[in-house]
Amino acid sequence: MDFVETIRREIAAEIDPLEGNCGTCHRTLRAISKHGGYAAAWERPDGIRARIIDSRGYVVGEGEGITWPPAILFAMVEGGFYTKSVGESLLESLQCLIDMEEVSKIYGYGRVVTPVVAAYNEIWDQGGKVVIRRSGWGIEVVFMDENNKELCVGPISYCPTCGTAAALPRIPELAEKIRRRLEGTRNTGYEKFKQGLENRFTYGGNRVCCRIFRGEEVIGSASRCCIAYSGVCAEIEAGLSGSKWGELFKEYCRVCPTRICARGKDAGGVGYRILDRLEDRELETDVRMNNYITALIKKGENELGRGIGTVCALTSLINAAATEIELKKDIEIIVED
Amino acid sequence: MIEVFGDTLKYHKRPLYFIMECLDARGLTCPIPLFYVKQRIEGMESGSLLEVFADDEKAKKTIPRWCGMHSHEVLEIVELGECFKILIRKS
Repeated sequence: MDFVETIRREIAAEIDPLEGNCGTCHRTLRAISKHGGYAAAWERPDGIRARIIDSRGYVVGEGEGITWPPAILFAMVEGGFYTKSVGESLLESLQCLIDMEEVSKIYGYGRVVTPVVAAYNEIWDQGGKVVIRRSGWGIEVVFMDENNKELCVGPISYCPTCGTAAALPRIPELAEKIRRRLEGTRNTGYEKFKQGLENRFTYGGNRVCCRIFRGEEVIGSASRCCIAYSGVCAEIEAGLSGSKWGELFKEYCRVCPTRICARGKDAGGVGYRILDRLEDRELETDVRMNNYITALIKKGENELGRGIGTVCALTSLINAAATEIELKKDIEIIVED
Repeated sequence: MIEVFGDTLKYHKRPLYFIMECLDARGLTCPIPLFYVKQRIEGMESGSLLEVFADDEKAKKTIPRWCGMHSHEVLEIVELGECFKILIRKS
């Protein structure tokens, strides 16, 4: 049996739509790693190009995306790691190749956190909010004004950060404002592109491990609870990131209240399931920026929980849920599943 | 070739020699056909032609839209029963 077929059979029974595309991507990466393969990704002006490499070093899947995780998931679908129906469902949240290029005009090379943080601040300063909600296997991001009127709904996306970035071009004035603000600022993706660096993602123990290669040399590596966070931390280790983010992320793991990574869970799968439970209870999730990406869980105007996260609002959401006793039970149930 | 593009050739004063590449994206769901088009066009020379066969209705919109963003010319979209053909000239 070939590499792809082995993994497709192995994960077929484990895939759970409740874990969304992020949970599915992490589950698949774990199986790929177990069988000696890995995911490789490169920064490009219009986003990220990714490949799945099998245990013999052959390319078995290729894709691209707005940033590392959706590009890797695209490569997994393209490589045939899923049944046709699951693959098609996952593709629904990867419809943003054109959106990806639109985002790259604001801030390219696969960097989404920087423009997204600027968008959160901008919307919040104007009295509005950014709401995230599940849609199929993906996430939909809604920008709302101070009167709770929808300003725009983004395309179904891989995660809240990708969804916010993909929604930005739909408000051209806001996109232009952010593009101008970021023009000329340091872009780590550009630095990596210029140096021809490669990001390799595997699972090591219970965590995603990212190693950054310059040729055959590893210049930075980190193991964390999700692909994007491990990638950013590996950049810090490699001395590629700005000092502000470096300090913030170093600190983050020390204060993380859930430590789901130690229990073999990834932030994507748990975050998607938490979001699903919140929606069942008709609770709303609002995201903003306060040094870290911060998620607020609300019922109407009442705030039930608030948490900070890493590079994606799903971690903020998990941590927000951990601050409220009723919601905390949900995390325990999900993590024990 | 000359018959297919008769007037277009004269109008653009293009050379009479083209490299035509063919991409069969039938049975593939969007955005995979667009991804393959992007990949293929990246490796082609300016002015050469790419003939794409696909059957996902979304691809009929996204491929021409993407071509427009990059100034690649969509010469024709032809319905062929269960699939369609998009003919693209790389800018």
